[in-house]
Amino acid sequence: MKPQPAPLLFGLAVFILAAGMFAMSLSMDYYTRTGPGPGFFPLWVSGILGVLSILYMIVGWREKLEAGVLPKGKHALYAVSILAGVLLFMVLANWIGFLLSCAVMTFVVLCFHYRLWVAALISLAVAAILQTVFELVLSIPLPDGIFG
Amino acid sequence: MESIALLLNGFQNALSFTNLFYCFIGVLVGMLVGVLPGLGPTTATALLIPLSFGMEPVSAIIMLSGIYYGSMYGGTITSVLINTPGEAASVVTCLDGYPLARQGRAGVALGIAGIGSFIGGTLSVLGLVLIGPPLADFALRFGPPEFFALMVVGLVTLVGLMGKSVLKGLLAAFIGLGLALIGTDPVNGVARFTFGQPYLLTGLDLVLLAMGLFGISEILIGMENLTKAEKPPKIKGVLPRRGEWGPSFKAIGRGSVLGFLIGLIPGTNSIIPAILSYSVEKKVAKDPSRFGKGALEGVAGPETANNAYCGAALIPLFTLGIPSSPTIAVILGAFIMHGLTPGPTLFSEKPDIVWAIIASMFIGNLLLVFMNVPMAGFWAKIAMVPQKLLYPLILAIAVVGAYTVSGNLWGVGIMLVFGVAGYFLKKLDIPLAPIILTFVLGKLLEMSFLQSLRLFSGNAALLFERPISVVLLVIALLILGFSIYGDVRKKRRTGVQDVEM
Repeated sequence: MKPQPAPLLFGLAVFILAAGMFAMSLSMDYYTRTGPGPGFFPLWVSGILGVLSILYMIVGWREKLEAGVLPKGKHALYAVSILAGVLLFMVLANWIGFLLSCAVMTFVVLCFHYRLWVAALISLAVAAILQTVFELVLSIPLPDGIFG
Repeated sequence: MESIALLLNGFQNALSFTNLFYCFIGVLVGMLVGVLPGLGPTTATALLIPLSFGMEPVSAIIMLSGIYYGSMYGGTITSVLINTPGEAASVVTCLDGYPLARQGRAGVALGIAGIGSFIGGTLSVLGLVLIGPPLADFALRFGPPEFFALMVVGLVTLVGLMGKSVLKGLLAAFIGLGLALIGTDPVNGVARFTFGQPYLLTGLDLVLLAMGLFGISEILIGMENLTKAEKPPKIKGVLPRRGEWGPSFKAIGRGSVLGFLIGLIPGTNSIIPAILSYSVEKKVAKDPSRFGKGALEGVAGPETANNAYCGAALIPLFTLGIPSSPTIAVILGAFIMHGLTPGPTLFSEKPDIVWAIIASMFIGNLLLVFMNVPMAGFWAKIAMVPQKLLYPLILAIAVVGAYTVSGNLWGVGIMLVFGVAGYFLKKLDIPLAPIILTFVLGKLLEMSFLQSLRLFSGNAALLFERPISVVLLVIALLILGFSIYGDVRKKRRTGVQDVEM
């Protein structure tokens, strides 16, 4: 199997995050009159994380992954539908309310696995049950929107 | 004697209608989680925390603990009936449980598993009763240096045992530590890595992190690999033959001891005692060739061990405030959310709450025996719920839960981001358990370390001059050394997996 770039990319992402943390830690006090300051721990943690990420990139480059990291074909579609569903919920919830936005989110995920009318029915039922349990039974407020 | 009196008082509290109800809900959800592949006790506990907001602290912890040990019972059913472990600790049960089912003895396998689980679970709670208070008393002598050293041991054990690579374990541990630094510095009160966002001033929420890293990532991976469950066989007769009782009870006895001892070690998880118990039973058996073909001891021992593990694993949490696994880390989060601080002072300051929780575990184990054995066929049918329906349901619950925890859509976004991160981490075989454990312990670790440095006027070497902390730090160094040695020699074949997710 050829070496996969995924471990290298991941290691690089962690290194960039660690480097950013390290840079921000330098702007905090490392030591104060009373002892270690707010920058003490972050500096060490981000420094060690940076070193570990470099080691990981070196070792991980040759890692033989059984399959690629990213899904392909219909599996990619299923994964994207989950992300799209949640993003839609976040966009719509405060506008159209919990019931409809939750139904839309669930429908986006289910529509690839069931007939459209079945997916719609299940989505509405799930959203209604969740709204009943959380708002009526547990008295936990959910987004209202223009439809409630 | 004092412990017995407190325990009896705890039973009085635990047997109230409200607490009994929540205990029942907890073990019921635990059974469900155990039966359903793809949903682990960590995710389920994190999902239910938002629901516990309106509850009394003791009821909330009783319910959440019930999910933890209840899931050990549930996982057995699908392992035996359809050769699909619903929960990772029940993987070993498939080896002899499924062959027994194929011989028409599914009921016997489930029966002995239920009896063993009850005995193991009850004995480990008894261990918690006996060991907990003296250990908590001893831990009252701990100052910041000792707590720091103890947390280092816990984290090093976890990293050392976790997965197939110490490097990946360390990387995950430091990612978790980095995430724990977001928010307000616990000692100096300075905002760190908040980018001016008010939501980040209190740091990232443990529940959102857990739901994202474990729940959403599992949904993403599960939807990629949808599988169908086969139809379970009918169940007839739940008790072993006369000649099988003796060997089965011996296996249960050995499993109880093994599970309890392993549960005391931070960083382990429920699959280790199950695997070790199976190996022990095979070694001590008169005819080891029966194993893999329907040996009842191969079911009794591991199932007892994984339940005995659960009660013992709560001891470090209750007495020292150290979570030993991701699920217990989430339970720790629940404690804190409800205004309780697990640790040595918990027994002395809130004895009524602690003993009520311990008493509820006896009750919960009893409930589970009655729910498990006679109703096994019913639970097996639940495992047939299609995953393409199950995962969207869990997603909807997770999203609502995330909104509830944070009170706004920011929390949903955080959960989603960590869900995607968890997906890639799993694909790259980077363990998630160290992330959540160091995240939980990060602030405590920083506080105890900085307090220690102030105590020693900045001289960290003085940590090695305190007897308890030097012993613990030497243990930590030895564990890390052996782990790295094992890694370098490539002797690490299987390590502890992220199995509680």
